[in-house]
Amino acid sequence: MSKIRINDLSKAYDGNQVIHNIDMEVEEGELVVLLGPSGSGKTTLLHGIAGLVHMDKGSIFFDEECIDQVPIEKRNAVLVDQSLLLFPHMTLNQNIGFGLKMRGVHKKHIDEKVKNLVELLELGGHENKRPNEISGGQMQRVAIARALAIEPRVLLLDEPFSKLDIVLRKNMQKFVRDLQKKLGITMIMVTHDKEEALSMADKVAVLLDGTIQQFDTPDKVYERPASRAVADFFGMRNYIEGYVENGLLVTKMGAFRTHHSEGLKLTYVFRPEEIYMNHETFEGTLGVILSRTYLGDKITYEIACKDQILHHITLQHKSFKPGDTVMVNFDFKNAIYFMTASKNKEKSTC
Amino acid sequence: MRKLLKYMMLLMILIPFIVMLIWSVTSSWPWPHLLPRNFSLRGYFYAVHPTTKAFTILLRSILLSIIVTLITLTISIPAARAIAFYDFKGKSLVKVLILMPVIVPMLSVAMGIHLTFTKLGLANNYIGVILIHVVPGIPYGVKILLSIFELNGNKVEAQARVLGASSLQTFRYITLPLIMPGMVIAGSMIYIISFSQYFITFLIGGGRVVTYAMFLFPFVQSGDRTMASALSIIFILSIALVVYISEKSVGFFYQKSSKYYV
Amino acid sequence: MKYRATNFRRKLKPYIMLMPVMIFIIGIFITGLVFGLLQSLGYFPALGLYEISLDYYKNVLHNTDFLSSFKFSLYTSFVATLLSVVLGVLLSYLIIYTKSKRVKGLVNVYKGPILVPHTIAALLIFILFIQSGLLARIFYGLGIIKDMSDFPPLIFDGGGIGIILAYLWKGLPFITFITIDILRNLDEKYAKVAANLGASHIQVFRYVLLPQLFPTIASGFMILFAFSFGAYEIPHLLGASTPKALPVLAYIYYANIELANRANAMVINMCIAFFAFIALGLYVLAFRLLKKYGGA
Repeated sequence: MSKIRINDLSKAYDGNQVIHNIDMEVEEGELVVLLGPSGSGKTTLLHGIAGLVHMDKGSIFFDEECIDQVPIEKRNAVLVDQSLLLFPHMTLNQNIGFGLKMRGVHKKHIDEKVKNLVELLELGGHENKRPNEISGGQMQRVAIARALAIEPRVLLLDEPFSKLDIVLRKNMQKFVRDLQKKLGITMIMVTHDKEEALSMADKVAVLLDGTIQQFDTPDKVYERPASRAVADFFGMRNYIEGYVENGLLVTKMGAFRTHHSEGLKLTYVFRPEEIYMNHETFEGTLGVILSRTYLGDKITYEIACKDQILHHITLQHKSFKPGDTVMVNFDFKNAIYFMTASKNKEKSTC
Repeated sequence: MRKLLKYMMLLMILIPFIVMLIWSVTSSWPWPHLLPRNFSLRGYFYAVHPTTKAFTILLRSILLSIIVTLITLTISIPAARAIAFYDFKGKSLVKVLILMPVIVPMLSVAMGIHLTFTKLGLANNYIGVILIHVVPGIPYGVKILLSIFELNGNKVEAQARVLGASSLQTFRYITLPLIMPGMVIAGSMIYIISFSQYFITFLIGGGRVVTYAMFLFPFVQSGDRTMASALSIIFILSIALVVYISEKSVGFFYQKSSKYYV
Repeated sequence: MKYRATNFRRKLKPYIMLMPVMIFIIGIFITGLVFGLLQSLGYFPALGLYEISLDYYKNVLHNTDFLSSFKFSLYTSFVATLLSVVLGVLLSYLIIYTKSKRVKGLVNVYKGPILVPHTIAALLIFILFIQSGLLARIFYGLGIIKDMSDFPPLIFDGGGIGIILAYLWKGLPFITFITIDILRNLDEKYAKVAANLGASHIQVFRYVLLPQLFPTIASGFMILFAFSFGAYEIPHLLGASTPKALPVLAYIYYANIELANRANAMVINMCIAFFAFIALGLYVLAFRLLKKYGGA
């Protein structure tokens, strides 16, 4: 297992920049998740590490050894693609042992290693079946076993669970996470599923439009988004802009006491579950319920508040109807905010 | 290195055509010259000259193969549909039976059926020749249409029925336009197979039915390279022309619908 | 009652749809083979011969002409088919792995021979390889041979070189045609995974692509072999007077006035058909294999 360092990587397809000057470091034994919407360049980055795509600029280092000129088959950076691509004409054993056979490893050693992996990935009893005779979860594990057999320097997973049903997906996420910790595998995984990223990663790299917007632990990324783009990506939908005057934050929703220094322009962000509403008190900002959507375990509301539409999610079944007037409250003390720079360019202050 | 090998192999395939093309316009090319001494269009003149009947034979041959193609396609459509969309007993046997003419030589079949054809009055005439020509085309017709049916499925047709189209209307407005590209490919294959048949035509036709392939044969056999080459080139061009026209005309008639599935 | 009737009709429907094709397949193809079999056993009801015997088989199978023809046909078909398969797959591989930008159209040249009938294939080989042909002239020009009689007789020779070359010229592109798209798909799908697991270029082809391509190659082999084993034109036009290929020998017997020879011809036909049926069996087997892999 290796430490991976990525230095100033760029790649364009037909003049379309997919990856912009990316720098990233993955420690040995760490699980890093590249999180981003489709088209954000995360798969390209992963393929670049595996050597499947040639980068225009920049370098990749495995343990401080530059591997830019190392061909795919010598890199030892194994990719597990979402379509798995098990070899249909080989048994599971043959699939798992493939990489070792290609390296000319003695058959006895291959058998031994394959046996261990079969056990480790709970594939016992299926060794001599072919890929089209086993279940989706089993195929997934074969693909991982096949990759682990050659003791890769890094294991790369591209949306590995996206084709599994929800229950199986949860199981596999835990399984892979435990396996990774147990074996100390350096792993880079690509996904667009936020929950999957947050629950599995040691560190999350949020990739938007080809640049890494934030690279931090899951809790930091979720609770302290580094930019409005990251906040947007995590579904924070209520933005309130304001400026500080006479010790008060002046916004459309009203003025609130603040400790910020005079003259600052700020944008506060509230998740739908972080705004509060009731109709018992008179404190807060007056709003009108526009719509209500029942989702079983939760209810979402759209509230017209001043000339803004706020989004609210609640677990309570206290029922408001469209047209009801409510009082909306914000907890500015614990909320995330960005400095509103002069040209609408936000800078994180967290 | 690999590129060189590729071009060498492609040239091996191409060179014979070029040499044939040169021979077809040669009047004298004595040993050991590498290029002909004199050129003439003797072979081509012969082919279009009215006294030789070559041109009439060519036209009749084309007509014969077109009839064979139409019959084969017509019977292949329901067969391919049955295999694609129905489960029935003996399906795998039917598939093997339909495949058989690709592998089991028609020569053995033709000799075996010859006596029966003679008795039924099907030997030595066009009907017999057409009947026997249909057989080797069937596997290609069914196979190609089958893959088209399997690709398209029958959901679109079911949708048309749901919307109130009769089975005939469905066939006319949905099925036929959908399978047209496959029909052209299959039709071309069947046409070429029929047009190229020598032995079975000669056996069942008994020399009375002379197709262009039969007309060409003695020229090749006699080693008259100029004549044989010119007639061969006309052979190939006629195939290309018929295939081209069928593709274009189908493309013309189905232009609108073809946009959606190509 | 009504329901049962429609159910019955529904069950009957596929058979009705298959009927027209089956009239030809069973009425001509199978009947032709069965009547050929009966005639090979000496059963000619039209001529008042009803007795079934294996005499004709005994005759033919002990006949030295037949035996040498049989060997000759087997040898020419096998060699031509094997070369076609090996070189055809090689050409597929070369076309896929060497992308040429300038002369893209040239690649399509390989489809040409598929459309050309056997008669013309024979003519092309004749023009190139006869003792006064182009190849001999080139050899003469290079000073390798002094006279056209120095050039080895490749056409009309007992070794069947001309026949093999003609079948090869037609068979090689056919194999390329049926393998190239499948090979390209397999390559796109699996080459990178295999390389990612450490397989070299050759290893990818040897261990991943070739095994998956095998059913296609095998079925192509069967088609070509059975076809060349039972085709008349090429051995008739390019073959020696002895040994003759089986189809040529069969027709010579068939065209003979003597009735006994007609039965002998049918014995040869049955021999050709027998080999074709073996090929058919292997072909079906190859496709079972293809299904087992989940289809390529």
